[in-house]
Amino acid sequence: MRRSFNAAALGLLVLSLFAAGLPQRALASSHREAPSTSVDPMADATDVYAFVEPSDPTRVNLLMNFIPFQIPAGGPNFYRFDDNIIYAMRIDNNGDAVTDIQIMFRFRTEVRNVNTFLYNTGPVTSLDDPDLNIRQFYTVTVVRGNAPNTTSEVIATDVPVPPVNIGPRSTPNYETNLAQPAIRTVTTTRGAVTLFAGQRGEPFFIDTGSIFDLFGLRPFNSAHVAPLADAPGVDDTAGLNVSTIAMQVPISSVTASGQMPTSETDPSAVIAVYSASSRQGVITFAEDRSGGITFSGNFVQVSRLGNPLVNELLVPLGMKDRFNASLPGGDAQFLPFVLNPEPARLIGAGGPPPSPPAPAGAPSVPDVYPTINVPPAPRNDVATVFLTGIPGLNQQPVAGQAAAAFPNQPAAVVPNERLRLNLAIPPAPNTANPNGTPNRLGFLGGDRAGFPNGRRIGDDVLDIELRVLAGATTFTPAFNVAPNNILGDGANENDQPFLTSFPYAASPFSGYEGPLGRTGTTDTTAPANIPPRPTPRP
Amino acid sequence: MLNKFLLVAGLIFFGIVVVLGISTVSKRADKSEAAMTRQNAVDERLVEPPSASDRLISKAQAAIERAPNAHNGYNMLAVAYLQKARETGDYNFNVRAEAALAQSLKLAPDNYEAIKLQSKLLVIYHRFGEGFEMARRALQQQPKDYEVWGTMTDALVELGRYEDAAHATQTMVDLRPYTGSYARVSYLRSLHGDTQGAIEAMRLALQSASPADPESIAWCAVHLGDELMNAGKVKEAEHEYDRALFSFPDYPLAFAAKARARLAAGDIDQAVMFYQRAQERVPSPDIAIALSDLYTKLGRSDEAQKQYQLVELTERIGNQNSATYSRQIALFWADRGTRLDEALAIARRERAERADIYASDVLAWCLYKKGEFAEARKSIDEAMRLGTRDARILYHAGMIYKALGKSSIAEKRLKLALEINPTFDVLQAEVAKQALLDIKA
Repeated sequence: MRRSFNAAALGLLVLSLFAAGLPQRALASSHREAPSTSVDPMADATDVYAFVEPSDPTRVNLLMNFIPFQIPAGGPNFYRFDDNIIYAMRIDNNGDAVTDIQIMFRFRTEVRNVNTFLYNTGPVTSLDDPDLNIRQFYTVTVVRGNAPNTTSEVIATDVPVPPVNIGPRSTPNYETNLAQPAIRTVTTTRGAVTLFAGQRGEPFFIDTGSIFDLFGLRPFNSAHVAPLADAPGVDDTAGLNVSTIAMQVPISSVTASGQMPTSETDPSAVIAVYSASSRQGVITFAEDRSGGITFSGNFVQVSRLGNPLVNELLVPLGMKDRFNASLPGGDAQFLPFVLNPEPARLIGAGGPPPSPPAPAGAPSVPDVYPTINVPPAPRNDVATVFLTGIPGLNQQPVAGQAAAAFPNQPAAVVPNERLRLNLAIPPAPNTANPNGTPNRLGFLGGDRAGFPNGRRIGDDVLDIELRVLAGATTFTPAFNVAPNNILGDGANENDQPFLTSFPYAASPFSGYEGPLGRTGTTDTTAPANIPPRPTPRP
Repeated sequence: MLNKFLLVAGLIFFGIVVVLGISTVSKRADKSEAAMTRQNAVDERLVEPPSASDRLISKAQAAIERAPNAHNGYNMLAVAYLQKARETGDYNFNVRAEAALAQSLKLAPDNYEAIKLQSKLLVIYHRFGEGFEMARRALQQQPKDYEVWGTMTDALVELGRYEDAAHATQTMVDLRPYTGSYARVSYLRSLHGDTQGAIEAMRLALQSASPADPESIAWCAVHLGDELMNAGKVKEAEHEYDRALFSFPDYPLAFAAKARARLAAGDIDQAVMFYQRAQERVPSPDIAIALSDLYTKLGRSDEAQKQYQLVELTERIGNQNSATYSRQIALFWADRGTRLDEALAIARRERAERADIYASDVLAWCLYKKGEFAEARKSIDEAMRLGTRDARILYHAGMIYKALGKSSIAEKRLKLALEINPTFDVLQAEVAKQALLDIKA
């Protein structure tokens, strides 16, 4: 075999597409935020949702999404979970910033007929249809306690993942035939757990095209330092799919007390969650070079996500990989970027000059909305929302003292980036509706059952976070005025209705319906007829 | 392929055969910037939608216009041109990337991203020593950047510093296990003769390759197939090559691999067909050499001659690429017993610059052909020092030891070469077989 010298000579070259100093083109809250997750989409944690089940307030829904940018017409290499990754939901139920409960998902791929590479050889009308050639199954393990004193329970084995939604021939009646039957309820020592893992329509909605064009907000185009006409926002995630892992568990199975919280102020009422993906390491050479030893046993965390958009908007480019690889207990290292957040500096000058300089490692940025003022750094209010929880809402009280890492840090609370949910605050009426929320503005709209208290699938986290960063909250009443308190990207809802029950995320778009494609013709004898370049959006 | 254009491939995998192949026959080498802009304007009206790299180029140019004294725009431009080079196979985009990086470093002499990109570019250019130094500079700023550890691995392997390369690989995978690091682990194992380990690691790499980047799936499948070939599992290997073509049709690397598999199966006509398809996409010398040999074997001498001329053309035209193909040319001449002095000069120069096993192998073969058997033996022993299961190196060793009268060692080496791959080379495999018969007689 003549070895290609180019291959031998050059080895393997991996080129990262994203250069430094530029905001990352992220679709949902954490889709492409760091160079390393951009090269490894199957490990890329994109969103986490946590909300009390509207139909049964003794249960809580936890969703974690992975694998962004799924174009429905994605064949012949269809999306799947990665068998070499542990996908985990991590819960801290006592506020010490250490995970107490970890719900881990491992996947296994099976090829029915190894002689073909086809995903399916005919219509797939059920999960065990023999025409589905590439199948995936998952096993769920719950680990409780703090290392090294942990216990572990396998709560589900070989649950099928539905195939991706291909089209009316391959996967007819997708939701009825394939998705709904993939919802499984299992009995565990701590009660019934409902599970789903599979492709869904991307639930996040955000005008990334404008935001990452120098922090443009189309409805406020005329106030930008590079003004344009005001225009409606655009949901740039429309038509895309994502992979969702969803679980619904009894609240008593995740609280520190082991019971339903007795009230909002019950020390067990608040849990702090985040998702993490980890890949198994490898040893290059065994001691005796015998080969065949594939794994070293150490899983390396490659992505994590608690609150949406933190790694996108707050953590500077040079630290995004570090954020993904680190544990929330060490989040004090990101404090400077939370106390002096870059988006706030982009939106407005921090009060009278001189403005505080950018923290070390972060570039200075222009004030792109000169007529909007934001509170000056340090932004303890932002740190409260993201790192400690809001007192009286979703803060975990902790016995013992923790040294205050920032001024007015609530006593004894270790700053760590997680999504915090007060399980004793009842779901708002009409949460289970196609909007996924009765009030997309959550807490800022007077809806205490919404983001940042947990996150429902319809909460408009971008608008909420923009207003928090602009100071439009009760923490900084002087800035809780227009236009700070009406900031938004103009993308207020998802591009399709959500389900009104578990797993809530909507049915995925099929390749055949091709929402992103451009319609051609039925006349296969016609010559090519190139249209003029489409008029750009305003 | 719509996927390739619409999806921004975060992981850009090997396309260097594509990158370097076309450059030797490209006539764009002297195109001016203005002409290139005109070309881009023309390209706008073609049927193909702008690729991911085209969009990034526009974005970068806009950023530069907005802020001409900021280095970020130039970094973005460099990244875009590097991807464009990979997408089109036009080497000259690498040159443009280099220019953009030079500007970036002028504006901000220690900016990390430029240093990092520069190290990658230097490795692409085969300036491995410089690439290594640049990677080291990058690691001084960001010691945990696993991508730079990857670049460092690549440079060290090509320099023949295998211990250091293994360390760099392990550091990379410890920092970040994923397709890119698994694939490098596989390569290190393969170099050290651990075929089974190489197969397992490349399987991991393949499983972890993203469906959003079909080329990376195809790349891993081809290299997995190559390792399976090394293990004598020809059918399984071909299955992986078929997987590569299924995942990423028209992939030249897969065409060439499929040709090798067809050859191993004794199907010369299909082997020719697949090599031709590879050549249509990327006219690289090793394809031309393989075709010229196959045409010779089939008695199609005119076509063999045309391919032979293509190889000669490569040698004449490629001045900036001479580093890339010179070893192949030297081997080509040595195999045919022509231009031996030039071949030996190239081989010596290569070995002086780089201490990898393939430099030693080419030098050994050129020395052998010149009758310098003692020196050849020293060199081939160097080439075999890792225990690599490479049929060609073992064949060279067999012939050299035979010339020195060491028949039993020679026989072992030749047998192993043919065991690993009885069709490792259209013409040389026959020489190997004949030599074995001579020894036995």
